[in-house]
Amino acid sequence: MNRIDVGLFDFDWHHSIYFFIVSPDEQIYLRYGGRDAVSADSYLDLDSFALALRAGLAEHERWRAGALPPRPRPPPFFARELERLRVQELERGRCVECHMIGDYRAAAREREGTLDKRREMFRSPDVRDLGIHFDVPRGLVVERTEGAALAAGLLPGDAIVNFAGRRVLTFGDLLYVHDGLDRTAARLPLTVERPGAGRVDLVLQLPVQWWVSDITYRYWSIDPQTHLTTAPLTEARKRDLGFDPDGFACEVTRVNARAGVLDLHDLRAGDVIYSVDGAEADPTVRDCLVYLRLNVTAGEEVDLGVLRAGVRTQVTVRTHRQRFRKLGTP
Amino acid sequence: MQDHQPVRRSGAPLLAAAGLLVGLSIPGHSSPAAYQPFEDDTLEWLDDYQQALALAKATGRPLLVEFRCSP
Repeated sequence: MNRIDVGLFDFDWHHSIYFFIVSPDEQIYLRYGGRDAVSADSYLDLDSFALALRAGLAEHERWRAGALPPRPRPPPFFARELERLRVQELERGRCVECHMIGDYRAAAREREGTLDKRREMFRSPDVRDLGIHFDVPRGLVVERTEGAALAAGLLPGDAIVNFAGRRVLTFGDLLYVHDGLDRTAARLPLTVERPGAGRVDLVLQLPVQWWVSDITYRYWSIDPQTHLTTAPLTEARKRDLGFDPDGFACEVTRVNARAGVLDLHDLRAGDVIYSVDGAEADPTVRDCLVYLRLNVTAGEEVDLGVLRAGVRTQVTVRTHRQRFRKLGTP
Repeated sequence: MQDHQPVRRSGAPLLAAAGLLVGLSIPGHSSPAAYQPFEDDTLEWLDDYQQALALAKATGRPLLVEFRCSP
């Protein structure tokens, strides 16, 4: 791993398997990979892999013919540049797992004050939350749509060929572009090949908090864990309870036993959390726990406004900082 | 939104493997003379990226680079 330029081979390091097809001068033709919270291989199968291989070879022919515009190479980056990873893992001869690169890098940015959790913790948002459901063996062919994708006019059978202004050949390409979107983006242009109609341009309106998806499977030491499961209140319920309808009040639906084991808090199912360190609303967030995870450093305490059995009270929560098979702190 | 739940995962060391994408039987894909596909249509897997890159440069073949958890 020491000799791999992970600036060039950048990907979401929580994917269990990932492929690049690359020219002899290290231009990336395409990526193959992608997962979701359900499974490490939701988007992986032999048929779509064969499609990717064919597309990669076709790109190689274009490269050989000089028809592939050269792309600027990303700045080089090597795992050894992460000082704590170098000292704690590489210099001790330990194996560097993929996810450790992501976690060490995020932790370093957290210490520097440059960490953008919206983008770097909530990685690879689930495109199904936009209403795009792919026919996985057929690559980027849409199987069905709902929500924002349906409203944009995306149809079953459409094959996405351009996503947010970038040519995409595989789901791995598309997810990487999606992951790279500015989290303040409100619209997403895309182009499809529609059977019988040729290329069709569409614009998808991105819903609030579109970048939030279930990241339970990820190894993050930067995620302030509370071992809670929450659900946002409906606007009607917020009004009934006297909360700001645009606020991020949410209800605790489950408390994992680890919260007690780690002595984090005494919250219970049915509690309504209406404020986090005094804040009750954020224009980009709809869920109190998302707001907490964005604004609290893992391991620190946070004061929550809680409605319990009709009474407003304050609860102090100690968040947990996870470590993953590492002796040191990333 | 769900907070982290404990996840069990077997040992997952990084394996960065690089191979040359050669000898694939692709319908409609011609093999230019510069290619030297293997007769048995297999991939030759290498585990040293620089070695694989040098081979790609020497043969004009593309690289299929795989990152995965073990095994």
